[in-house]
Amino acid sequence: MSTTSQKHRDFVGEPMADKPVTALSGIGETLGKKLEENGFDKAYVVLGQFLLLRKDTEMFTDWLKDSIGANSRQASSCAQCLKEWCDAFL
Amino acid sequence: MENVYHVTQIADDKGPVGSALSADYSIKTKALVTVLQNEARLAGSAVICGCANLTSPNSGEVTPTCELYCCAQLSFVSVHAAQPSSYSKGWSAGWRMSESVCLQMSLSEKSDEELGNLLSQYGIKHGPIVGSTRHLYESKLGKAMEQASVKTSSDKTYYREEEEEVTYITYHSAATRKRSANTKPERADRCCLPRCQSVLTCRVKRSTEQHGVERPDADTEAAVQVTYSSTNHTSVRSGEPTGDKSTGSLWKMILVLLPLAVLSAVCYYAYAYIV
Repeated sequence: MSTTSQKHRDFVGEPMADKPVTALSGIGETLGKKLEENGFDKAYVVLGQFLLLRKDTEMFTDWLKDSIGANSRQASSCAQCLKEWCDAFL
Repeated sequence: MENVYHVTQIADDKGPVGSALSADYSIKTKALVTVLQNEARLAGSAVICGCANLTSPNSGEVTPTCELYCCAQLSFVSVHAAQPSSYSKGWSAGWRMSESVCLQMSLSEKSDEELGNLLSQYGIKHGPIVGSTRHLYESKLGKAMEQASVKTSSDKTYYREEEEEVTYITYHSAATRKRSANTKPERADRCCLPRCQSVLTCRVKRSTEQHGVERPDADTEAAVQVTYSSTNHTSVRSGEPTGDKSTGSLWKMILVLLPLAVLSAVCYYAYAYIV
């Protein structure tokens, strides 16, 4: 199923280093700002949260919806993006 | 002139409920909310922090609505709207703390370890409970607890209904069995709802033993039949096939006995011929 966006492919293709949260698939400017307000200013911090939730995409999706009001599509896109990154680099 | 508040509290199974009545139309929204907040606190339920959308009486609207937000913004509780009654001159507004909110607030008081244990209990796989994850786990646990309580209560009702239905079926079929002098319990099973056969069959068998002693009243039977058919339409349909099946089994018996009789006759003549 290759319905991934360019943003997704860009993120998953290399180590995230110091990329901002907006580099994550599904996270645009609005959600990015909300994440930064919550203290998640870099992609690796969001990765930290993903890892804390034991790399459970469902749990992470719920967390995104709950904390920043992301919709299902955005949240699952971000979760999938992080999961694939972890599979590749972690 | 001071505003007089009449505050009442009712406890019911849906959660703590309170109401505050203002004596005067000039009461400010905030003041009424403060009373409600205090009452909520006194009731031992979660602290309610804010109120929104309380409509002004000046607009002529008689049914105000108010949504009180929980401190942690876990959920909001809708407030009763009430018309000014004849004995009160002002607005009345009540609050009802939803069960889920109560649950969640009590969960927030639990330690990390206790929360972790509860999560495991409800089969929720969880990671470390830290600041950023706690809120999520609390809401998940609250939902799981609510679902569990709803499930058990609905199951109970369902089971109770099933029990009732099964008893009635057995009464009815026991009576028919007495008339037809046929003690096969399988026929009763066929009357049962197909989706709950496993539960019902056991019950039916158990209750058939009892009916050997008891005599069902015709009135109750008739009434029971009515109630059963009203609760479940499939019972009407199942009545006919069971009738057909009873005659069908009779035919089957005949079909089995006939060849046996023929066979025995043939053997007899063969024996007689030999002799």
